[in-house]
Amino acid sequence: MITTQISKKISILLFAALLAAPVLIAGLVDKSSPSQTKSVPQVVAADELIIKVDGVVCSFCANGLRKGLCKLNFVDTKQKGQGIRLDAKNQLLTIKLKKDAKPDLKKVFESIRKGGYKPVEAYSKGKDGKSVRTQKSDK
Amino acid sequence: MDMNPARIRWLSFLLMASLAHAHQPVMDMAPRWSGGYGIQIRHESYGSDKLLSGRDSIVNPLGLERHIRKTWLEAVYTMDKSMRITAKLPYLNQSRREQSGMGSIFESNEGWGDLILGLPLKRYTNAPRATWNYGFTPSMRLPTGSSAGNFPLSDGSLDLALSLSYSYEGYPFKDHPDRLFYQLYDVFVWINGDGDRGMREGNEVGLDVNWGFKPWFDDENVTGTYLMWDISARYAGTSKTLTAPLSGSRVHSGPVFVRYWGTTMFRADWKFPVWEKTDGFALSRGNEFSIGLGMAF
Repeated sequence: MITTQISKKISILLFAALLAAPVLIAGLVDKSSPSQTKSVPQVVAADELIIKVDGVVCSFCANGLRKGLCKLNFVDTKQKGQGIRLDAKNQLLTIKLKKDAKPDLKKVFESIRKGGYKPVEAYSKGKDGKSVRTQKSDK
Repeated sequence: MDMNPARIRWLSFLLMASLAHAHQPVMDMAPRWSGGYGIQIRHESYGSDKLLSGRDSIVNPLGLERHIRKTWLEAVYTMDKSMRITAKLPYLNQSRREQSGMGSIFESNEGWGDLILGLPLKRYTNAPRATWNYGFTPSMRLPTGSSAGNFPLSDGSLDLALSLSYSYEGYPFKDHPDRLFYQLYDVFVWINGDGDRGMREGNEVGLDVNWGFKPWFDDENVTGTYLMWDISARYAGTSKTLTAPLSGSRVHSGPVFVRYWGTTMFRADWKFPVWEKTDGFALSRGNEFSIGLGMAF
């Protein structure tokens, strides 16, 4: 009888702990801002565009990004990974561009949104050939 | 009304106490892209010859047993990341040794079961180094399986379900910044209708929890492995069916292995009974095994 009561109490506690877990673990989320992470690229090649994308942490879930972006006519899909390379750990997406192509950032950002993620900003090579040019997403 | 994230999280937490439905086709968060679709084939089996009375195991002199094997064909279509439609159709192969008079008889049946349609509605948040979503999923189970015979594949009823879920994937631990963590919580209730021949399955309430890590991954080649732990708790009301499913409560738990490469993923689950309590005499559900192969496009 006592054993039954104890096991019932343990079951209730276990159930309550399971329900409370998402709230507790959500509190552990690293809420550091993008600038505080090490994910801003220091160097960008002339033939590429690097995009910081919030939420992209798994390359399988990000397959839709590749599917959408490789349809854009300025993306060099002949390169490895159809011209799209993902660094999920740092949430950076590298897009290889066709020679002398001018990328349309609005289309890039829209494609990322349709892929289920939030574009933050784009990095490209500066006019001086050395610096990194940063353009924020408008939404 | 101002709905800040903390309030939404708290309201969702309250709702989780009453609602929900788990293991959506392919993966919980994929395909999340507009116009994405996925298919999956999954085989699951469970059953045992362990006879229970309440929580106690009792002798089984007649050798009663039940074994269920289901092969699920599953499909998902994503309109955009906040709305999907899913379909799941099982092919059943089931057998049992049932009491008959002073002895026992062997019965088996095979065929298509009941089609389950779902409408997962998700609210995503994309944050630096993390993504999470709250899901609300109404589902219905259509009586497409045969209710004929002594061991029918379906009770012939139209059943309705509601599910509330929360899943998170990201790098939450400040002390381990490169450790990707995944968690899923899914609370659901199935309201089962009246079936054919006086059959009626009891209503079911359940909670599924998945916790896991991704110890190996290669983003450039789109490969990765998740190691997770699953906890599944169920309470089923009294049933009046010819299939005699478990009425009572149970908790199953066990490891989950997920491997993906390109657009393909493989999932294997093993769950063992941690706690079972039956209403009257009934067979244990036993160990549950599941393997699935899915693709998302």
